[in-house]
Amino acid sequence: MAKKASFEESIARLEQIVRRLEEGEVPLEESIKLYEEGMKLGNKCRKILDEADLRIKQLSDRLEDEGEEG
Amino acid sequence: MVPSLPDGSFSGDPYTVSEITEALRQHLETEFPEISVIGEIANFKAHSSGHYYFSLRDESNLLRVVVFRRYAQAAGIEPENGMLLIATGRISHYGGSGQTQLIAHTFLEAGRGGMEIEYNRLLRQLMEEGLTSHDRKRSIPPYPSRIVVITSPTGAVINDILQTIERRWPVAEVVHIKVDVQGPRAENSIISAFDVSNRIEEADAVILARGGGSTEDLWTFNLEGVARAVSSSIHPVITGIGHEIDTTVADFVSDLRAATPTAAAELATPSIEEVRNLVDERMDDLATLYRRSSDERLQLLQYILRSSAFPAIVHRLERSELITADLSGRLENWWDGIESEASNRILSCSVRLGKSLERSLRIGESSLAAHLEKISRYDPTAMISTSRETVTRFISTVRMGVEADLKLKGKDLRERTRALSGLHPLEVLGRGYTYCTSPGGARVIGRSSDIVTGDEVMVHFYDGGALCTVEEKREGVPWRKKRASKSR
Repeated sequence: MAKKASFEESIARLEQIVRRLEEGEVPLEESIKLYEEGMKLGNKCRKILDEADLRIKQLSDRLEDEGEEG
Repeated sequence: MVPSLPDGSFSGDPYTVSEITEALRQHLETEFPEISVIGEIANFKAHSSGHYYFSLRDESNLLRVVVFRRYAQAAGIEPENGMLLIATGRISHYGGSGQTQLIAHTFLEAGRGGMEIEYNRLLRQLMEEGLTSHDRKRSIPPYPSRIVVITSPTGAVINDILQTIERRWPVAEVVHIKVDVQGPRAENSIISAFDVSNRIEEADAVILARGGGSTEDLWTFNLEGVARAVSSSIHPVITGIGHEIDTTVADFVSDLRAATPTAAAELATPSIEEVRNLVDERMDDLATLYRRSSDERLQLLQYILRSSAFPAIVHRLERSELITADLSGRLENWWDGIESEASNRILSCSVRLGKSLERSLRIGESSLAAHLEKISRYDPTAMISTSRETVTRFISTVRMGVEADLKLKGKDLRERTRALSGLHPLEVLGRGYTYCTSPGGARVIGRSSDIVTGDEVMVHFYDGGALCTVEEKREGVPWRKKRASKSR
């Protein structure tokens, strides 16, 4: 769950990093850090996409029924 | 319009009932072979033969409708009184009952009077409560990690939705809450499903879906309980109910309305291929931007190291020490010159002073001699003492004069020296003058004839210098000429 929850955050951060670098005026040291962080995030996103496998969970609207079934 | 009869004849002879009945039938069937009529069902009767007999009516009129068994069975709906119906067929005249009627082969439910009223009432109430407001509608997270699907466990809908999500965004987890979407239990079932959904953490979207069907089939989604469950959902709700043409009350209060269940699944998910491309693009952007910024920095550094300016800067730094040494040497020489000139003047003054003193002394001596001569003629003792006094007084007077003169001359000299100090080059620069040297500073350029256009010169100011390029040369000394012409 934690892995998936962070997909949106990861891609949002990646976009932010690209924008930051596009704006320029980034000191050398910071740009190295941003590049490394961005690459890490991108690879993480790719991994999530590559390993994605739909998981399906079924629930009943009647929780008590499910409890009895379970 | 007077209808012409089939045989084209017209006479004063009366028609038989059968003749006119047949004429009317043929005429109406020719004129209205295929029409649609909308009206509310009244006097509905399903005959034992399987045929339907009813009337379509509006506020003031009534039309008989017959639906033969095979069409009645194929229609798939059970007409009943009050239902708004669109019936399609031909207009005919039936002699047996003497009635003009619509022989319908297809009919479509257009709504129901009472249901319409209830639908409008509920919708108006929800609108007044602000539950349909656009401002209330939440956006669906673009990359959902958990999607709740509330729909029937049977039928094509759940499979369509699951396949769509699997194809588009298998990153998500789907939680299917099974409900009745039709029938007496449907409303409570859906309300309960939303209770369950609201307790699911971190769900990004809820899809409430049902496949196509009649207005009655979809009626559950026009019920107040369902509408309120949708509008109070903790997670954003996408409704995909029926077909494109069906808009239920639930659609109005949901955060996003999709035309169909499959469309709802599409709206809930991004396309994984697009997202993959987006990630790849961003990583490419990142690499490009990073490489570009590194390259720019490297190029700048190399440019500085390679540029002709760099050795020039080093050279200039080295030269500046030499220039300083050279300038201070020349300053010393110049100052020495001024000093020696001053001391020459002092010397010449002293010489002149000495000469004038000598002259005075000589005058004194000659007077003395004259006195002595006179004295020798008189009382020598008295005369001598008197003369001595006179001489002493004279000498002291002369000495005072000389001393005063010397003091005056000395003052003059000090003033002159002070004026001379104004000629010190740095003092002059302070007053706004500059001087030029070769770029390295080794050679002072005193004349415009020392340079040509394009030469670089270093202009020295009181507090620094500027490396300048000669753009244009002008011969002569304009300001001096002007002054000369004025005085002429």
